[in-house]
Amino acid sequence: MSSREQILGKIRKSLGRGVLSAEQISVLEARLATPPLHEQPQVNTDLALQFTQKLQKVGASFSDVENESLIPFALIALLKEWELPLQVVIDAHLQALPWTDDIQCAVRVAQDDDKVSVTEAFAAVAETGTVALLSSHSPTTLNFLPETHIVIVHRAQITANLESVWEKLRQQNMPRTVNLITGPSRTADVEQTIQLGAHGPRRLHVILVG
Amino acid sequence: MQINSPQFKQRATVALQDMRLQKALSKAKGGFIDKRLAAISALPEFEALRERGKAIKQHTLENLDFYLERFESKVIAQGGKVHWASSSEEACQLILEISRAANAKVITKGKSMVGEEISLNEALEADGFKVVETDLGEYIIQLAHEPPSHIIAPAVHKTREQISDLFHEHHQQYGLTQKLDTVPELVNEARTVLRSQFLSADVGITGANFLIAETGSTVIVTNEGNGDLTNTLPRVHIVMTSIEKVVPTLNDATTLLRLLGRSATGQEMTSYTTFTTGVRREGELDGAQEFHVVLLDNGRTTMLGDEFKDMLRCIRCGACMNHCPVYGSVGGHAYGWVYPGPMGSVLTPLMIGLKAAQDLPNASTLCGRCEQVCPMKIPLPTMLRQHRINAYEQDLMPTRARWALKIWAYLAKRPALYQKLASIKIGILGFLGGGRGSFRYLPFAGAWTKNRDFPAPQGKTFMAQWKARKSA
Repeated sequence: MSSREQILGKIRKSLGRGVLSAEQISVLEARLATPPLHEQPQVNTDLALQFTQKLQKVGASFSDVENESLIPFALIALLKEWELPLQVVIDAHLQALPWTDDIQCAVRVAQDDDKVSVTEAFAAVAETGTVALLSSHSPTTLNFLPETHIVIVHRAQITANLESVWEKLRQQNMPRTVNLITGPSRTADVEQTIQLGAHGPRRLHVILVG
Repeated sequence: MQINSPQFKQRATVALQDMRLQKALSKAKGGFIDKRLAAISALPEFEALRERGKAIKQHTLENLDFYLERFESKVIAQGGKVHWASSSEEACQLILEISRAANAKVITKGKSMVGEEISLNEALEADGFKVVETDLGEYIIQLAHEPPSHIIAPAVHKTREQISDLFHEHHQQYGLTQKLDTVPELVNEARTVLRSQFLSADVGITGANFLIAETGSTVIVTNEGNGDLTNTLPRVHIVMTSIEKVVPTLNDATTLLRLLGRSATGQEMTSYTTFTTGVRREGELDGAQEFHVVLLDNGRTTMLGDEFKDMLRCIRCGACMNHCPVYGSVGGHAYGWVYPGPMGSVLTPLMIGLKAAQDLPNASTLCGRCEQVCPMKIPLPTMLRQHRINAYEQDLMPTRARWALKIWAYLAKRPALYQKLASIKIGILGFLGGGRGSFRYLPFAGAWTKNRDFPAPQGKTFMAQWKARKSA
C-alpha cells in the first residue's frame, strides 16, 4: 500500500468512519464553492485613512499623486529626497507611463544590486496596511531583492479586509505567488530588537493614485 | 535530531545555572507577553475569532481526508506534485530524491519546524548537499550547531555577544575581520553573506503555516523575506509540511492568520504572508519551475483518533511557551528535542515515545496559562495530565514515585487519617521553618530544594484553622 493510501486510511480509521458519503461530500463541496465569511475586525469607513495609518504603523511610508501620469515625477522627487540614483526596475505594466529622460527604467526581473523597484499592486487592505501583489502581474523578485520597494496603489483598490481581496482573486486563476506585504523586511532574531531590512527591502513606500 | 529528552532533569539544572541563558531568557520574555497583550487588547473581536478558529480546525480535522485530497488535486492542476510520507525517514528520502534529480549543490531553507522534526538538514548534509538556513535565527543556530530553542525565535537563547563571536569565527572566509557589536551591524552582515547563497541555490525548501484546499496553495508567514527568496530564486521549490496544516478556504486561513500573528509576536500581519500555488506560469520571468509538497504524518493520524486530537489544532504560534513559567526558567534546550514548552511537552512524547519523554509532562506546574493564551483553545494542561496518567498506567514511573502516589491515594481516601497526619507534618515543618519562612534544604525533598526554596508552612493546616474558626 502506498503511503498516500495508508495515511488516508488511518485518518478514516481514527475518525471511526469509512469514505465520506456522496451526501456528506456535497455539503463540503458547497462550503468550498461558497467560502463562508467569518468575523472581520471593524475598519474605519475612510478606507484610505485607515490604510495609510496602518502603513505608517508598520514602518512603511506613502505619498499621493492625483493621477497616473504624475507617477514618474513623484518618483524622481522621492529618489532625489532619498539621495538614490535615478534608476529603477519597473513592472511591464508601468511602461506606458510618461517617463522622461531624467530617469532610467529597466523592465526585467530584479538583480542583486538593484536599488529601487516599482510595482503595481493588485489590491490593498485597510485593516492591516497590507498591499497584495501577484506574480501574474509583476516578477516576484522585484518585491524582495531591491533595497527600496515602491508600490503603486490606486485609491479604488483599497478594500476593508483581506476577504475582499480573495473575492476579487477568485475571478481569475490563482497565480503562482500572491505576496501580502505589510511593511518592510524586519527581524527580531538578535536579542528581540527589531531591525529593518533583514533579507528583503529596507524601505517600503506606497504611492497612492487618485 | 538527537533526542535528549530523557536527560530533562540534568539539562534543566544546567540551564538554571547558565547565567548567559538566564539573561537571554529574561530579555525575551516580557517582550513577547507585552506585545501579544497590546495586540489582542486592540481587537475586540479576538475572543470571537478564537472560537471561530477552533471551529474551523475542528471541521477540517473531521473531514481531513476530503480536504487533503482536494488540496492534492489542486496542486497537481497547477503543475505541482504532492508526496505523502508516513514517517520522518520517508520524508527525508523523498526530499533527497527530488534534490538529486535536480542536480542540486546548494540548498537554501526557510524556517521549518517539520524540517527539524524529521532531521532534514542532517539527511541532506550526509548526502553531500550544502544546506543553508536563511532565517536569521536558524542561521545563527546552524553556525552554532545547535537545535532551535523556540519555535518562532530559534536563537532566543543567544546573546548579542555570542552571535558576534559566531560571525567572527565563521565569516572570516567572507572577509569579516573585526567583531561586530551592534544589532544593525550583525543583521547587515548576515544579509550580505546570505544574499550570495540565495542567488546560488538550486533548490529552496520552506515549511508551511497553512495549506489551502480551495486553491492548492501553501502559505508561509515571515518577517525577514528569507522564505520568499528561498521559494522564488531556485529552480526547484519544495514545501516540507504536515497533514494537519490544511484548511478549507482562503477565508478560513484569513481567520487563522488574524490569530497567529497577534499570538506569536503581537503583529496584526507579519511583513510577508505568501501564498504559493504550483509552478511558474507561461510568460512569467521568475519563480520556481518545479513545485513539490511533502505531506508528513509521523503519528498525526494516530493522534486524530485518541485523547490528543485537540493538539492537531495547534498553529505553532509559541504563545504557550512565552507564557510558561517552566519554559521561562529553563529555556527550550532543556526539553531535549524539537518542540519545547507546553505544546512540546504534549507533542514530544507522542513523536519520540512516552518512555524517552516522560519527564516532560511533569515539567509543568499545571498553572493553566498556556491554555488561557492558546489562540486555538487547546486544553494543554488536560493533555499533560493525560500523559501522566498514561505513564503511570504503562508502569513508566520510578518505583519511589509510584509508592509515594499509592500512599497518598490511600490517605486521600481516608480524610480523618489524612488530616491527622497532615497536621502533625505541617506542625513540625512550621516549627522548624519558623523564623525564616522557607527551607533551603529538606530531607526527602532534595530534588525540590536543589533549585528553589520550599516555603515553610504556617504551622496549622487549613482544615484545623477552619474548624477553629467555626467553633469560635
